[in-house]
Amino acid sequence: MIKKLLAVVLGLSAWIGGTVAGTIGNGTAAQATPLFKLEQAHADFTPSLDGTTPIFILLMGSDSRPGVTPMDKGRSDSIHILGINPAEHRATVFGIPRDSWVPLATGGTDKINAAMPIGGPEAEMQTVENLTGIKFDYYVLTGFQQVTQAVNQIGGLEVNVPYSVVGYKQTFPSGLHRMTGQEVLGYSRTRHSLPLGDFDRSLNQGVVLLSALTQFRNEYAKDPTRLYDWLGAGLRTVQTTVPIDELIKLAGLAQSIPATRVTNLVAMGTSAMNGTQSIVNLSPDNQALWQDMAKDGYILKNAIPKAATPAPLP
Amino acid sequence: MANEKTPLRDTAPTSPERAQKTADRSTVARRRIVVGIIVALVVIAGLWFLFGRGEDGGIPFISSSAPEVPTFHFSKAQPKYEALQAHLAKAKLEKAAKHALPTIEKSTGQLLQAGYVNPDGWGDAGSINDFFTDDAKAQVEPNVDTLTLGKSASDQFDTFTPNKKGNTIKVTALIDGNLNVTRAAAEFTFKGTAANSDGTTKSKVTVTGTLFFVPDGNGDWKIESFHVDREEKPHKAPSASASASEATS
Repeated sequence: MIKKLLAVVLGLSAWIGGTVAGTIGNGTAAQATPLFKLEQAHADFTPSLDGTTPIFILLMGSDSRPGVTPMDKGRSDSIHILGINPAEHRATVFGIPRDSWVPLATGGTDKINAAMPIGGPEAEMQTVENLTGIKFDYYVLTGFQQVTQAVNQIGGLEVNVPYSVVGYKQTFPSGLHRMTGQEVLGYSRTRHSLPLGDFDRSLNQGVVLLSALTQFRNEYAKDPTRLYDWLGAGLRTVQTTVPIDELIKLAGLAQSIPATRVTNLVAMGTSAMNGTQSIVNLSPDNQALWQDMAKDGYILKNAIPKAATPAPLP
Repeated sequence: MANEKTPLRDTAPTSPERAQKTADRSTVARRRIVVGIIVALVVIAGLWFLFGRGEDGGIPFISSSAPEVPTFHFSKAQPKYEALQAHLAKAKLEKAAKHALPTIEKSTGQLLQAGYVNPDGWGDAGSINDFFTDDAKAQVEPNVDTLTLGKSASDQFDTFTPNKKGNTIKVTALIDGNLNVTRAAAEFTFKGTAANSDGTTKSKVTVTGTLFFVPDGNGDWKIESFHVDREEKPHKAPSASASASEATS
């Protein structure tokens, strides 16, 4: 009897419970419309160099040919001082014409690009330090073939050509062009068709550097893993003293420095002849610019004197 | 006789008082049992309303007394690599990248497990701080609403159930000239369903991002850089019959 009663009560309770649960379940299904709409969220952090101390990197392009001369024993035909102010998110690319007639750290006076074949990148860096008073933290050295490879490995470079340039093998019309490695090299090496020769060539090399900055920033914003593509392409093709940790932080810093906050200029001077060779006599007025740059890492565009416009080659 | 059955014992004669007492005891016992069962049912119903209201089906208070945090797995793509030096053997580079993959996958999974799946980690920077480098740790708190389900998640959600499918990870290793993986990037997609605390609706949550890892020198990897996005979409509540399978589809 008790067993029967228990069974009935349990059955009844199960039925009641099931009914209640079923009713609540149906209620859930009936409320198909959500009560609130949620929003998107985003988190972003990239390590970056900071602080008020400026960073100086000497960028050099060797004229060595693969299989003939090691990259660090060629002449540094392209010389640019890169100054960066992390705190103010400003930078300057200061080109020095390769024909600049200066005292070399290795002894004597010669074209500035002659220091590297004698004493390597360190001697070249020391020569530029002696000339400008700027103390470098690092150097980066690349070459013809290496530039070509690096540009190809990142998939080409969009260069904003400010004015039409007739190169050795092709013409580069003004405007934005996606260049192959060979084209970037051709554009960077062109000198004879330029109104100011070596000075304009150095400026155009600065244009390529700023184009790379813009492209890197755009690509990184879309896909942060592009950082590794750029690092790989870069480090496989250059010789540098910049450690990988610092490079990653520099890449982070680049996110806060658009090309519009970078000044691209070339040292003032006049073209001349020394015997049979074409040289550049640098203007003493450059010292004020280098002192300005040494102080905080950059030169504002409006601080560049009109005299900075160099004379054309004879 | 050997095959003779033992005769049944005669039942003892009972007095009328004794029979009445036995009948009374039986009635009382039945009443007590019925009352006990009713009380038990009332207690069960009370507990159900206290702890189980709003849950879908089942016996909620039993499951809520010992909640299990679900786990998930990534489907992995072949790891990629980026060499920092030219002329390194491809097979060795691939081997180095493959070697790094499980560790990076594990760390990424643990971060999402701690910040999203485990309700204790919602909005709590402390629960995920250890996954980051010292520099990046300072950025965890300002970004905790994305690196975890969020500070207000506990007010909005009861549970987070990761999807069984659709969680993907793609690892790229940065390899130096000594074939050491010096950095690694993890691109991931992580999906799950958050049960809203209104008890009736759910939200589909998708977290995508890239985590950049660096070895910490102690055999572990830390996140030095991150780019994470989360998208939440209100989700039509499943019907009672479909609720079990849809939550993890």
